Amino acid sequence: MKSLIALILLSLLISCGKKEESTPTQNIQSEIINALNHDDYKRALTLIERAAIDLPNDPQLEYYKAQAYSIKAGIDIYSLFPLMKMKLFSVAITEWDNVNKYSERNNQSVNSTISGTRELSSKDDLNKRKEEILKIPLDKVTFEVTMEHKGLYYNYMYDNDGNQTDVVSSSCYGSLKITSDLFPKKKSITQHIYFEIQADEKCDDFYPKEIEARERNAHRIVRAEAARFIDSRIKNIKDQQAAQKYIKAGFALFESVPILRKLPTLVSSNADIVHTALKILDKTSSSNKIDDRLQKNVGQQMGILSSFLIIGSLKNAIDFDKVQEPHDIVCELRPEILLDYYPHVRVGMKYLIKSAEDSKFTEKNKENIKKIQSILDSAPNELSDKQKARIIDEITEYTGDNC
Amino acid sequence: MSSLGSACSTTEGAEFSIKCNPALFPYTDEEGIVLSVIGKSDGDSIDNGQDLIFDPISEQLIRKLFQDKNYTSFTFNGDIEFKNSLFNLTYSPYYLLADLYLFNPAFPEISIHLVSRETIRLTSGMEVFNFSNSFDLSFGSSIFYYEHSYENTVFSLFDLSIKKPEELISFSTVYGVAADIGFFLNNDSKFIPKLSLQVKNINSDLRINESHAKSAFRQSSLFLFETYSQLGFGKSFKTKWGRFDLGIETYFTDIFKEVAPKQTQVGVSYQLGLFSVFSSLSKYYQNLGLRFSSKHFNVGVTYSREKDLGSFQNQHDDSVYTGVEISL
Repeated sequence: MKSLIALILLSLLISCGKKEESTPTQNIQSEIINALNHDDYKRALTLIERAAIDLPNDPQLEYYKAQAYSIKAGIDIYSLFPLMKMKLFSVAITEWDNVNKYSERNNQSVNSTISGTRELSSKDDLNKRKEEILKIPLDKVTFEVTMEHKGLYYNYMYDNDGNQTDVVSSSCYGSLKITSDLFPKKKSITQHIYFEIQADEKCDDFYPKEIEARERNAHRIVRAEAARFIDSRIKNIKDQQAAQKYIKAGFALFESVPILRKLPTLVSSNADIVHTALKILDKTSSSNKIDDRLQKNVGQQMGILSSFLIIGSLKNAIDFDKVQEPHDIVCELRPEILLDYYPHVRVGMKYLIKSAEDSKFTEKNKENIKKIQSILDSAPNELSDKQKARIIDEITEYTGDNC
Repeated sequence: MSSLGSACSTTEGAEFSIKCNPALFPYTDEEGIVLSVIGKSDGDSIDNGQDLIFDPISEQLIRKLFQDKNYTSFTFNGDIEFKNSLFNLTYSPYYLLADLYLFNPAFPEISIHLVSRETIRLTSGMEVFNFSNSFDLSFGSSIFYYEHSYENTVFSLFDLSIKKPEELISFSTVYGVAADIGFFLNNDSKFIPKLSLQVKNINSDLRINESHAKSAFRQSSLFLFETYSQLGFGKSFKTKWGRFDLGIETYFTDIFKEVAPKQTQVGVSYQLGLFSVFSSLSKYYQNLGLRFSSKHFNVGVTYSREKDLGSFQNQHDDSVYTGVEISL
């Protein structure tokens, strides 16, 4: 019995393989994470270098390298948080829905106060109306022509001394006001008439004929002008929507001022390290071995770091303590300081656009983003003293006139 | 894996023996209804988890999580047991497990492993063989229905700030019937140890995700819900100053497929009257506990040092487990 038991136990222990817990690569990765968790970027970079011998160009290692550089630059969660949904960190995650609704209401009320509460027709409705008008048969176009102004010029002969002598002929003029149901309320078009008469003739004898002639040809003109009025209204809507976007952006920036004040100051030497981190993240995102989680993280972190560069530069250039209302953001701008941070703003903009490449925001604003991209591509890495001086003058002139 | 008690698959006669090894059923003689709860009552774990999800994420909270303890674990188990001489029927409405690991302060990510499990279990056992009145072989088994909900995911703090938690955490549920079988070979020899052999969670649909198990930041449980085996040795010494039990257990994946030497656990317990003290040691878990057992009421407290992340964790975490049983 004892031998049997011993035999069973021995066979179990010998026949079973040993469970592998982890490979050396996975162990070193956990050590890298531990080093990052303790803000020990130097140790993290050393471990990454060691691991890279066996795994060159590994996107995970490159990602960790970017994290180490972010820590080296002083970028940590405390500075990131104000940039991530700035309004939402004053309430619990479970109440974010309510904050969104509040913020929307606030924005609407600001928009209405500044841009008026008149409800605009939609562009689709107006385009539809324009199509209907252009399809109206000419004989169905109705309008009314009335004489608004009229008058008479005398054409004189002059002697050798330049004195008026006899009347040679007379010229009649007038302006016709054309109104139509096809035009928006209170809108009309004006046509001018001008014709010559003999000295013994009267203008009033000819006005009815002129009006009649204009009425015969006015149908096409009235229909075309009605369509042009609608085009003008569509353009107004676009202009107002653009203005509302700026108002919203300005309002959001103003609302974020208390949080922007808490952002750490962007120091140029740290900003250069952030450039390095962004370059590494960019390189990581283009690796074909990158997985979904890393791809997402890289995009998000690029957005945050580049926003930090831009907003950190703005923070240095604007005296936020003096900002009491949205307009003060421009008035308290110190252009000479902002221009010192121009390289960081430029790099920030470049990577911000890149990080948002596949986003809905980019999809909706394709044209504007293309324009910004082409400006960035042609913008110099550094501004010359002359360029800086010109920009400072322009901003100073604007603030002088408007602040 | 962690437990309130020590290595106990060869400790016959205790109130909790059947939970350690169903083959110990013939050595129990209790009847009645027992209500029990066991929880990891580390205040920090519960507070931190609650703060992260239900309170505003503040700079102070994140600073605290990274500097104090960025790994948080919570466990709770509740049972209602009906015992008689023929079988045990146990209903566990809650087995809750929550592990939360926050890492990389430059771009914080949260690795979450959540389990909510409900089981109803029927256990029985019998003596199958007696040799020379010296060796007793008993066999026991449990058959149980389980409803296992789980989520194992990792997301960034940025994701948490732009999405609702329910968009990031989505439970999957697995239902099934599984079984445990166990053998226990008892003997009264001074030198030959007692032996236990068990196979747990036979027919379980749950499998170890190898990539999670080997990841530096993903978490998974091991030797808990998937099919695994156990081999145990033990020895009891009864003296007039109490009873000593020694035990050693080692684990195998699947049905004795691969041995996991780093999970080997050594346990010792001492019982005197209504009190018992116990301790166990393994590479990643060390605990020391105290238990008071009376006719109607049992309570136990265990202080535990744990590395739930195994070799991926540098330092042990300190936890306290509390268990209460009420017999009606």
